[in-house]
Amino acid sequence: MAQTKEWKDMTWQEKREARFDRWLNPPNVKFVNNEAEELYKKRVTRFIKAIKLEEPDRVPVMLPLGNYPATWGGSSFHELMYNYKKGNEIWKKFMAAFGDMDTFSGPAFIPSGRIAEAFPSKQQKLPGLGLPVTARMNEFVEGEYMKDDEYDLYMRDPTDYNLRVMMPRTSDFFAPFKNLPPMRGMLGSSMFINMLANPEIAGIVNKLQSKVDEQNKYMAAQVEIRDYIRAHGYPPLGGFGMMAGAPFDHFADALRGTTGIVRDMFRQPKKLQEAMEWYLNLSIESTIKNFPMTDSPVCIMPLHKGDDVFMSDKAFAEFYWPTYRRMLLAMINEGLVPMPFAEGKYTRRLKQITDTPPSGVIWWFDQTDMKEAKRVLGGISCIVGNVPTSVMITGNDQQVTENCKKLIQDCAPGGGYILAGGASCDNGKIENFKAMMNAAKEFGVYKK
Amino acid sequence: MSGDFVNLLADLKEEEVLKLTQQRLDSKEDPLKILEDARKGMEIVGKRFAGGEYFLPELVFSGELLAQVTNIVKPHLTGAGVQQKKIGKVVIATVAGDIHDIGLNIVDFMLDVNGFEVTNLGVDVPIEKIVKAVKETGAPVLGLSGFLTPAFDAMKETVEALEKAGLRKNLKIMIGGGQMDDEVRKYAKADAFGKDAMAAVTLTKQWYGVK
Repeated sequence: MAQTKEWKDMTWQEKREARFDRWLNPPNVKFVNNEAEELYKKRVTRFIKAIKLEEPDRVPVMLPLGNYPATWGGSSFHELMYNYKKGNEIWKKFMAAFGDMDTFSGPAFIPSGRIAEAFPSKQQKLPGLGLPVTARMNEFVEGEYMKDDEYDLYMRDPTDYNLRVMMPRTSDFFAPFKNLPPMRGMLGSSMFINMLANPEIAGIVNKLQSKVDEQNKYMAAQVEIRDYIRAHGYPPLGGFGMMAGAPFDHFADALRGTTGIVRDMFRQPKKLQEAMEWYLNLSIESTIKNFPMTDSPVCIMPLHKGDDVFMSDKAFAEFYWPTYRRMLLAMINEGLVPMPFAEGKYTRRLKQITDTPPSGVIWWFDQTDMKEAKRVLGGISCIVGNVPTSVMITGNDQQVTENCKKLIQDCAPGGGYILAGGASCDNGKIENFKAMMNAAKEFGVYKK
Repeated sequence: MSGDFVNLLADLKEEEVLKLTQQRLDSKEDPLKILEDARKGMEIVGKRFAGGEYFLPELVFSGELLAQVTNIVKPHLTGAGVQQKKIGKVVIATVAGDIHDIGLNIVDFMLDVNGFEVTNLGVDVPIEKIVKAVKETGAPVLGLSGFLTPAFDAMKETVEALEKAGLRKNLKIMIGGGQMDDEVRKYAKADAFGKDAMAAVTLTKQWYGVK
């Protein structure tokens, strides 16, 4: 599509069309053959129509595969942390064995084991590193890493705060960073050299340097599997990995923890509001505005502490939604397609999230009542979900089919629906994933 | 004074509650009476939570208030306090491989304010430790919590281990949390799935035969 207007003069719909066009015609993908290219375009078109609340040829599917291919291929999260090549081989075999899928991607959230080992963090546990070797996923360790009186310190200079306060606190390896001078004056070479004259700091830098080759290997493996998958006609849905979610979660998840944030809601609500406002503006100015063209404009954003169980409607309206909504609007204005992944239940929330532009947001629901979601958000947002993981993992293919059929009946009419899982499945049976794919083909075809 | 205190605590008025605690101690009131009132206040919090008026933030903050009141009162306690009579014992734990504690602690709180003696084993609890606790406490009710999908198998294995140890027959097992539902309950061969902390209370009361 020829761009005749300047980016800044375009409407959000025009910007989004330009991004959709890039998704449909990826300049960096060399398709293995014409068939793969045709399939790729057909699949992307299916998603685009669903996003725009139109009827595609059939209901698109996002299989809740997660790292299931690892289990399928007889490997494990732990093994793939160390053997990147093996992971890629398994994913390629799985892709060939499974056949038709609307979207597919490489290993998810499996970090490099050698790097994780070298730089241990208190914030995450991994198989073999804090969790049993047989564990099938990573786990985050919540804590009150930022103290209740540090909001101002954080807001004054988040980079400085992260380097000199947060990193030493969350990793013993980086503990010496607390003795660094403030970073804002780092101009010219002498201050850097002075810093490196400190043997503790030099030790950290040397160790980081020693893992660069490993990091390059890890990254190369990720690029290799990504390119391979796309070249074979499977498009990505989320275009640029995960992006930070709601401002409330930014403070609640990684900085203050559950009890910390709760205390702030009662003891210093104004400070918390000020900090969220600050974070929102920083995100808009430094990240969202003029966001580069990416492989897909869809941005998956996991949400945590705004769900039905965590807070009241009143608290959601006061603490959670206003800043998050404005973040969504800023993304939409940039032609991006935010896709909040509402973990837990959002049934009571539905009535509170209707004030975004039609087709601007895709809502992916975990345990929300989907019939109700369709009723409330139909004509406003494309909805995604939510075959229960319990059924995917412990049930049989017939149960999966029944679940999908019901979801399609409830959510598909009129378009604006993507069939998906509630959360990802790390194990289970291949027949269940096949049943899910087949259900969309059997029950999800739109009659023209 | 006593009624105000109960309501102020239930309404989560931190400053007033702490001030009043100090005033009551200064006027030589029986410290046990203050703790008893604190318990009453927490009972109201539990009721409001069950009724959908309070949510997790209110519950967590009420716990903070209770801890502060207890800390102020404790040095003034002389001799052993009168233990409140409990209905019965319950063991709860987040299963092996899972480190999530928010839901677990809410269940602990709700069972406690509803009169049960709770043994909370914490998170990532090895199967053997759960078996041992059930055996040692003789609790007829066990609550297993889990957030992630790997908990499906951990729950199943825990129930199997209890069977093997010959403890399953007289034990009622409920599961809950994150990705748990009735399908997982069947898979793990537990007795019941509870969708929230109130369900844990209802189930436990039902199994104990209390209203």
